[in-house]
Amino acid sequence: MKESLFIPIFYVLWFFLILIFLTLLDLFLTLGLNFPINSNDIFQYVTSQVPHSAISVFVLATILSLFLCFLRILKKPGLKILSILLPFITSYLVFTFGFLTLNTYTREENKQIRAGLSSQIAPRRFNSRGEKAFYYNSISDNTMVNNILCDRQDKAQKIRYYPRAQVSFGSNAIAVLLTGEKNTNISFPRNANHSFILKSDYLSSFLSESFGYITNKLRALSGGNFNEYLLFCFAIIIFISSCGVFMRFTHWPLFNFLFALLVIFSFLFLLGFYEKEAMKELTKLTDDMVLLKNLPIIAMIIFGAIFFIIDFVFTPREFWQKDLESE
Amino acid sequence: MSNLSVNRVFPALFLSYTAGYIVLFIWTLFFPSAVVLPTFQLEAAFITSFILFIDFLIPIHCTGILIAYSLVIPSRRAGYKSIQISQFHKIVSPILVLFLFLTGVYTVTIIWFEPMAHQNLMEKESKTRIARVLHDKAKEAYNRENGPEARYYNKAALFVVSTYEEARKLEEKINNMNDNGREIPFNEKKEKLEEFQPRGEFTLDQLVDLAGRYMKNEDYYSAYYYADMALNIDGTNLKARTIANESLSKIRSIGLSEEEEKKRKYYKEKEEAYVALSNNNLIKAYYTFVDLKKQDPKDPDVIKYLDISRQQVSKIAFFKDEVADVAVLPGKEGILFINQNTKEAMEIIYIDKMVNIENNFYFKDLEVLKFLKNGYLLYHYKAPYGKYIYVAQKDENAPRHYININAIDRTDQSKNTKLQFYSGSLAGSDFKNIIQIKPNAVDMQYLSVERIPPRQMGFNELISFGLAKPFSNPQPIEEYGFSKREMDMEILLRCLYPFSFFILSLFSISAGWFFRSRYAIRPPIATLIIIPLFPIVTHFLVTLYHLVFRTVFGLTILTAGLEMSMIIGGCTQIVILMIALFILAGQAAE
Repeated sequence: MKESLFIPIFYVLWFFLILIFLTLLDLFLTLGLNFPINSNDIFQYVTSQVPHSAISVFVLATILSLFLCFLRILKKPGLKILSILLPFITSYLVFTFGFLTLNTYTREENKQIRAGLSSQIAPRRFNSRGEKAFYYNSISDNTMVNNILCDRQDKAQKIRYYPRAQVSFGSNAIAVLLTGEKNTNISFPRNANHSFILKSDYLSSFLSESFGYITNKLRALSGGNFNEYLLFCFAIIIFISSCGVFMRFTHWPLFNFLFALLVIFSFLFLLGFYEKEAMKELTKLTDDMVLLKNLPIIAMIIFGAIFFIIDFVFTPREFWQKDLESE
Repeated sequence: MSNLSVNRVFPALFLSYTAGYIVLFIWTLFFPSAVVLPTFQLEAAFITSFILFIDFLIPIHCTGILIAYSLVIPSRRAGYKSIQISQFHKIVSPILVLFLFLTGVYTVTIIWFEPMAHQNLMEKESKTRIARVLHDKAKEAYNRENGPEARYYNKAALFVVSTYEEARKLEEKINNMNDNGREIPFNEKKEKLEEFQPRGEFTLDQLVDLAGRYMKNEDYYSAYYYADMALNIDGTNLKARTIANESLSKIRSIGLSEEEEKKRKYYKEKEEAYVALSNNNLIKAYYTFVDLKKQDPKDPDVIKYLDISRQQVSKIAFFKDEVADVAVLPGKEGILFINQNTKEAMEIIYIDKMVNIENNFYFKDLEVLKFLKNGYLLYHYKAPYGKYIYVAQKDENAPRHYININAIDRTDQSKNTKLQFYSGSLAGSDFKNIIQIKPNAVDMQYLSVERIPPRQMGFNELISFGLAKPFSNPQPIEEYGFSKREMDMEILLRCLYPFSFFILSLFSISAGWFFRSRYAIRPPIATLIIIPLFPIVTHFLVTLYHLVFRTVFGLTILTAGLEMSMIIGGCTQIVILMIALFILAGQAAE
């Protein structure tokens, strides 16, 4: 009983530690991607970026802290009903209201500083873009001075000199208009320059897209229908916290731990796949958009409920201790 | 006990490695990432799966350790009860030695073998691309019934890939063409140019002595040649002056002694060629001697001085036939770099293609552009061909890399290549046919529009670019106009991965032991079936671990530079290693 009552404290403590760590990490990443930032703006930039960073790692922090909670329950099970319900209730409250609070900060701090041009197109360097490369010496008032454009597709001349060029900033790209003997332009995606920091493989980028999908959906719902927001949070938390059942699935804890993670990752993977690919295909079968949009929520709640029931009725609670004691 | 743990961990690791490689090999066969000719396919599959295997080695290795320490070692037969608390160190210590050895092997692999594999794969892709283009051209020429052209391109394709099956088939078809087997020569052995002994390598006394000996032997041309060289060193040398005057008058008298008019003209031409050679008007001298050889192929003077003039010319020009096959041979394309950058002006060089033929580097379609920083374009021209020249210098700062852009025809002066000016001119420039360049030919291959990913670069190249001048700014690669951040990151990651390999091995022992199986013998079969999926989870966890370092090091590289990041990185790894060892030690009391 006493062990079970410590679960909320344990969860909240770990959640905040992990959240702080991941937020710092995301902040470092954002600073790196937008480097160099004017030193006068750094404090303002960091303070405005913290809620954004915290929100983007919120779901991952929840998953990791729930797993630590599961480990503790494995070693110190306490009362069965409480060890199932307390992580769920605590994480649900922290998740729902924590996200909501952070989201209000991000709305208030809407004026994020856009990184300087040099973080996207480096001065005094050849900035490669496919078979083209662009060089500029300096910039002043959106006018670039002493520019070189190399275009391997240009049959007449591969390199051209443009004394002046105009730069314009779009939301996703930066366009450079070069006027001279041959008028042309070249555009660069934002944050292209330091993308080497975040080079990840297919699997990891798909998972990060899934995290992004959940975060964006939560942000959208929190600004709209509050009941829908609560329902979505409920679905996510019930599913993740019910995955604790896999931690007691067999008497081989390593298998249980990795299998539980595999289930959650697979679900996130499927969620991303559903949003990107499967939903488009399903619209050919049914016009019910409400159903299609809510299908992942329904699936999460149903699976979560089933896992909870299995956990409550079938899984042994104290195999870890029994085996240790039997030695 | 010690042997028992090694005997149990090693097979688990071996099984994990083997299974991992087989899965990746099968994956590569079904989803090949390299675009290569069928003749390279199997080899490419082995190389690609090897690269993937090294990329996924840490998760595969950790999975093996996790299974070994959670399932294999704790089983009853392994003495589960007796090792439980007091003797935990006995199942860890011998394994640490094994892991240190494996870390060494892994380090060597990521530093040497993986980049080599990348380069090998790139070479195969490049050969495939070029061979296909040449084969298409050969097919097109064959369809037009142009036998010589078809033969030329097909031979070139087979030169690039000798086992190219389609080219072999086309070769048979071309050979059956009714054109008497006419062909354009491809990759014939070029005339080997003898090493020319530069003028500066003789001392004054040697030159005067040589001139005197030639004079004695009545070889007046050679006598004049060496006497003139001596006078170039010391114009007041009386003996050299006497030999020069006497030999010249003898040359003239020989000419006058011939009565026939055409002989007189011949000797006059010979004299002119000779004077041109002495006055360093080398191209004129060369073509005059070529002309004289046509008139009298047996004249020993002409044969001798044609050879000397050819050698002399090769210092200021090269023959077009040397570069005839550059267009069809594989090489590095799209080279671009800043050659000169002063406060006032900047020179940019673009080279469409660079080819290495018998350790000589040749270039095709070079563009040189120079502008003043006040916005005035000084010149922009294109040279059809170029040849890399290295001049050894005692002074470290003296320029030593050049590109000769003077491609001349071996026999016909009118066919010499000319510079095409888009803007400005080289009037007033000291270098009209020679471009002084900063990078050497080997470094140039990394200075391209489409950058070579640093992952595919050898550690030596990374170091030579990234750490060429430690703690200095800017680094060479930056002077050429390229960012070195990506290379810095790659250097740092290649230093980090061996640490990760060892540290994550330690963490895996701890995690495996912490999560050890509670089954007395073995878990249910159903659980074993899921095991092959474990590397997916460990891969994600390893990626997350590396992401932390990528993020932190990415920022430190940008803000503090590579050297400082390496110091920070080294300290961080030592701290994490200590933590891993503490956690491992803590498992003994678990």
